[in-house]
Amino acid sequence: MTDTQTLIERLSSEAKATTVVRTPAYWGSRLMAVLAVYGLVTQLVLGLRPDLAMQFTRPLFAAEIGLLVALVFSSALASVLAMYPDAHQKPKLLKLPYAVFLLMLGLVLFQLFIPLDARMVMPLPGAHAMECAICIGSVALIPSALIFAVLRKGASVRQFQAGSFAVLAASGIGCLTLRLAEANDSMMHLASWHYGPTLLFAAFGACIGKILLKW
Amino acid sequence: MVTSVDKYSALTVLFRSGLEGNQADYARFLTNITPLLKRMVGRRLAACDVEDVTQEILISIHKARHTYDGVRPLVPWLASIAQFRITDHLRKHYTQRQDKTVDISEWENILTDVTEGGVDHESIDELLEGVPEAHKRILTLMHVEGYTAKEVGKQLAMNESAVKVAAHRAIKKIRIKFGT
Repeated sequence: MTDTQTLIERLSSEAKATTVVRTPAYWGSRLMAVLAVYGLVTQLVLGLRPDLAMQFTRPLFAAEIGLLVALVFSSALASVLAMYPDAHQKPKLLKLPYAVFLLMLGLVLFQLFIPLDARMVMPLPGAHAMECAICIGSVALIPSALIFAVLRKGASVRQFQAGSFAVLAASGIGCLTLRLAEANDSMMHLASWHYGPTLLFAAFGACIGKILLKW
Repeated sequence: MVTSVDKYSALTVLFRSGLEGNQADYARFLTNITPLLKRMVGRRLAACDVEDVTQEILISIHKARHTYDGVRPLVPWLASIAQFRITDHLRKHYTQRQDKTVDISEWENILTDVTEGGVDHESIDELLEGVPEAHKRILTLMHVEGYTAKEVGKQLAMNESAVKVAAHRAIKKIRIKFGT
């Protein structure tokens, strides 16, 4: 008897009735619902910027918020798909967060070079910086842990990707709530202390994904 | 005639039954996919690694079986796991190869052999011992100092072909001396 046959006998003797992991639609919708509730609670804590209604009349602000929402949900969905070895045979959806991210990057770069809108609020130079990154990171902690807990139910073969999507979705919540709370439209500040750190958090998520999603 | 579609749907049925706890069907499923996996691994890795990596894939399939719902096509699911384990194996293989160090003491014996082997022919004078003085001069000019036969002929006031003949005879004499 070869080693492989022995192994097959051992594995089959261990095989008991298995509860199959539910579909990505189930986990995705559940996760998104939880993220939405968490976002609302965070927003209640952080509050809303006083000029929010007026800011939504700026198409670029509305587009930014829309893209942030899309980034959160697409990353959450992609991370859920990545917990199946075959991405539940929807590998194209794994590219969705990249597409949203590219649009977001385009929007940020575009706003860096256009003339300032009178409705934009510019903070005093050096008013604050690191605090925003810390706030986003703190907000992202709980949802990151939650998404990782869900991902560990699966068997991801894309551990880097799944980890980065998980943290990107969680940091996206932080970015979104802070953008709605902070009266600050300086693109340089947003790129340096909101979106830049979010990218770094996602890179960190990729590193811990390799460790936490091992199976 | 059994088509590949029939074969894979039969595999899916066996796997689904295995997921419900039927150990015999599960064993049959694993046995049936083993040649498929071996072919897949054999295309990417050396023959000596095929058995080990196939076993790793079988273990991974067993561990990840709860992620297959029995509805979607089975082969892409299997292939993803196999691909993952093959890549993992290659990554480990190349990392180990990069980190592999050779102790300097292992090289000492080889280096000793090299230097000892070279001692026999180290000295050109020793090699040319017993060769007439004129021939010795021709060989030194041609093979040590790098002159052509024509240039050597000019220097020694000899015909070019005479230089070549002398060099040839000298080399022949040396070969006979060393038995090569």
